Amino acid sequence: MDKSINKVMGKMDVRKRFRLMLLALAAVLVIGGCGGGNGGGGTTAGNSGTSGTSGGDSTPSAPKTETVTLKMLTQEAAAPVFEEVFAEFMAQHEGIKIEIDSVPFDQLNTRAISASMAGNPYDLMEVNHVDTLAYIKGGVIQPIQSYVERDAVNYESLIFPALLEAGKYQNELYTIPYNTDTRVLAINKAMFAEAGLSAPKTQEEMLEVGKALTKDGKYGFVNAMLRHIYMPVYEQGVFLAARGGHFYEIDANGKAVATIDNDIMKEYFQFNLDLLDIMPKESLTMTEDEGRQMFASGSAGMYIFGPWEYTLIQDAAVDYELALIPAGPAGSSGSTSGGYQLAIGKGSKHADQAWEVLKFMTTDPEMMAKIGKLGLPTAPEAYNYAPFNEDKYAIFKEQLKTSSLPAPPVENYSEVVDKFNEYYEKVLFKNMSVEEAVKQAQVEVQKLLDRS
Amino acid sequence: MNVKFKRMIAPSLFLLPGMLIIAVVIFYPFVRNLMYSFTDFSILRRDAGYVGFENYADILAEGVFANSLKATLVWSFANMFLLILFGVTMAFLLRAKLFGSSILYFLLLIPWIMPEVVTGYTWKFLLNYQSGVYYNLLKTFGLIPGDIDIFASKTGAMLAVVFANVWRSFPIIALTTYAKLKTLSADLVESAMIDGARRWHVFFYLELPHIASTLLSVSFLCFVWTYNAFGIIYVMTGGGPLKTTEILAVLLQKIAFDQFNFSKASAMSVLAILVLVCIVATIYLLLKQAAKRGMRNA
Amino acid sequence: MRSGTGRAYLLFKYAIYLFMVFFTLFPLYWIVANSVRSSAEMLSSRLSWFPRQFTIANYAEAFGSQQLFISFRNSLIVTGCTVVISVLVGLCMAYVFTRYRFRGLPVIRTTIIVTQFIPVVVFIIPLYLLMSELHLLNTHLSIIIAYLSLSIPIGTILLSSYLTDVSVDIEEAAKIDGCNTWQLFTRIIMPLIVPGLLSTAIIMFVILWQEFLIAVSFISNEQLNTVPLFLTRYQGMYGTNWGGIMAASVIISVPGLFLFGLTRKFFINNLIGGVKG
Repeated sequence: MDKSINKVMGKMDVRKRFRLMLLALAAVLVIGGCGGGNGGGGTTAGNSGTSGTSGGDSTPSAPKTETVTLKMLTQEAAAPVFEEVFAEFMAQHEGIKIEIDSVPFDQLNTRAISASMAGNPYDLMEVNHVDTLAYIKGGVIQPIQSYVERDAVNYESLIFPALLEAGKYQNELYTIPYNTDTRVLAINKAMFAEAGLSAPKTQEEMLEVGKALTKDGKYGFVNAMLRHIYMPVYEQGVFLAARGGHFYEIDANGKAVATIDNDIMKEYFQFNLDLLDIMPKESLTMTEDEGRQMFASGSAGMYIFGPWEYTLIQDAAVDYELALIPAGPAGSSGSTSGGYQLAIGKGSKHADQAWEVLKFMTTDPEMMAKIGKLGLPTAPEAYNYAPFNEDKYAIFKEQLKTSSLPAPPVENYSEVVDKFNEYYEKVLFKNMSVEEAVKQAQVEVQKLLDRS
Repeated sequence: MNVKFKRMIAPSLFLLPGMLIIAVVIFYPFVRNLMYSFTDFSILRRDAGYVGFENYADILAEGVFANSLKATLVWSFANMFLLILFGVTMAFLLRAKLFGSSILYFLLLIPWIMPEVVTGYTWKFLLNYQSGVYYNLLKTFGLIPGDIDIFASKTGAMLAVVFANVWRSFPIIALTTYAKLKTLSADLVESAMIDGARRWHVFFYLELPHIASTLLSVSFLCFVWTYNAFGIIYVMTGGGPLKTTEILAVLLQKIAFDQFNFSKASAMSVLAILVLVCIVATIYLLLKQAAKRGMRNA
Repeated sequence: MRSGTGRAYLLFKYAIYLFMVFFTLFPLYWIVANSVRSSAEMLSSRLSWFPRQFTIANYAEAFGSQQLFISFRNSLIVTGCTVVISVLVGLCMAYVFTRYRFRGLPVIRTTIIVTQFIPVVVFIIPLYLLMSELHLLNTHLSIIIAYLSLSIPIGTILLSSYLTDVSVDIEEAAKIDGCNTWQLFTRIIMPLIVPGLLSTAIIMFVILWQEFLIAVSFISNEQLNTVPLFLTRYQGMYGTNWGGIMAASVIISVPGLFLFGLTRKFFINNLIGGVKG
């Protein structure tokens, strides 16, 4: 009993220090909070985001027309691009202010859906092309067909027609593609020159060339084969596209039909297996960065290359050149495109103004070149403007002619893709034969497609 | 009657704020989530209709759930075993005050503070086929059978993610156990040793009981957190190869954020919680039994 | 008497120690090494143990961006408030759990424990809707409220174990000496569980400091980004700026380490006090 009382008395020091620490913490909080800005208590609309104005309305003089504030949802990387364009728009249109909410790209959907559910939809938003149908059917975005007709805008001539497809539903246009991408083949010039080879024109040639290059710790081809579920359909899917194959199609009645159990697909799967022989062993488990590192350090002869790679490997040692994706037996090149679309939120109270902004951005080729900066512009005319008029984009423009979406998106697109990828993975790990895989995949994928 | 009520006031007041927050922020969403699981609510069907247990049936019918369950059990138990092993070992090592241990103690917090993305990627890189530092070390010690890519092997991938998670989380156990261990008077340990007790006995009958309650609480929390941890696996293997590291938390993440099938995700989360409750209840009962038997023998 | 076993035991102890030191510290070294590796070297596929080319560009870039400090401030505010409140509330609740016994208490205790089982994913959409209705989106308050629900149960559980160790006899003695509940709390109990309070506070701090899902759901205004949201700027769609994110990770570990370092003295003091007594 005595011991404990002594223990307690001996703690006086500790209590003081404890109080001191609490005080210090409180001080930090107070100073931090007073450091200006939006410490707790602000509301959504009032906070100035990252665009234009400083804290609310900046027209101090006589109130003319009411200022309409639009909210746009974008991914973080795209925010600066839109800010620039919006600044121009706002300069030309007094009375309309645009605020940007930016989130990491993988949170885009959650945010758009949540906002819509909360009854506070974004006026403008960008949508990944794979999700357009889900958004349309889910009532997150509204059709712009009436606006398009009213203002007589001919998007078919302004934008690559193949890309517009993702935004259409029952003959109404909902979204406008504003950036896209495509993939070409990158060649390690030194390795090819040393072996006396040139860029392969067909996929068969690619295998031969690759075999010749795979020696002494170097490989013919590198790609992180399973880094995400879209691989067999997009990144590796370029080879499927060049063979004229698709993993499903929409038939004349608008029904989605899986087209997996056929020769084209079997040959495509076999091609992937053959590729493994000219690729590093860890290709099945490597991350995208590792694949890139391998090519950038000159250890691989060929690599799938998109426009984003330019900045990502700008410090690399490798001397490379770009070529079109090698053709399949049918004889023509092909590639896959994705990209993001712009849309107006359903239930937006300022749809008319949102359309004005949309029109402003998408009908002027120079604007399209500006907003297409994150990937490739979707308007052919935009390639006449910087930076897309430079040589390094010529190959992409060329590839875009034979590039398309892997398939028109259905509502449960990601589920379908996931299922297809499951079988692709099994084949690559030699867990299942090609024959068996395409048979089962056909059935399983069709089941999922039937649900949409 | 009155006296009893009066005595209840203080404790009730103490409990109230906490329970209020938990009710609003945890139970309200959870109940709403539970409701979703019985509908076919998703982004596609806003006018959600009641579909009964269809979501649950769907999930259980696919082999995916069973596979995920197995992976989760392996993951959770492997983690707990290693976490406790490494954590308690480190606690004792820290107490021994070997050279540099005060710096080590200080640095122990970092693995835990590091973002999961960085931890996952670092460990993946270190274990990379041929180029990874750890891979080469393990090969030198003959611990890698043949020329394999760790992440392409089912056991290899699971071991890799488990060790990465253990590295990240064992400091919690080490630090809290160490703090508790320090309060065990050094005199007591000395005198026990002088009296001729063997090291093992000192550990088992003196030190372990002392740290037991703290170790138990912290281990319990760690177990639950580990069960729900998807960050490291997501980065290192994405659930592969062939879904062998796709634990329930990772699967849930995929369904919720890649497929937006919220009702399915809700059902999935309810199932995941049920499984966890079963596991914890089982362990609790087992421990209670062991304690009873221990008491009987003592 | 035991020198024979002593030497083998010592060797064993040191071997294990060295292994643990390596196990703990090597990845940390790797992270720091990569944060100063030049970007050209980062693109080579066999990264050497020791960087061949150094650069402080990653750190310069991180410090140069205002976002770093903004996110620090936001995280400190949110985490700090939550931890302080949670420790106090948790202590209150733990006290009731360990000192009282009335009907319904076990149910409440189980409830608290079960809250830890629920994956955060479950909360995201319902909480977003709730906060939206309350017009609390994009505010610190919404995050603090959500974080409180995470940390109060943790605090309660951990502090319960510390409180059970504080002998009830001391309290009885104090009560006999005329302490009321408040004095009991501040003068007798608090000092005895200071290390417990600090461990708990640190655990809460670290967990909340890294919390991502809730923050990203409630915040869309750059000015309110917390530290995990700041880190996402290094992760692009096609590749991650590993050098950058490693440097940023090193930087964001500092506050936690700093607070941790401050609290060390309390543990030492307590030990000395204990031995003396």
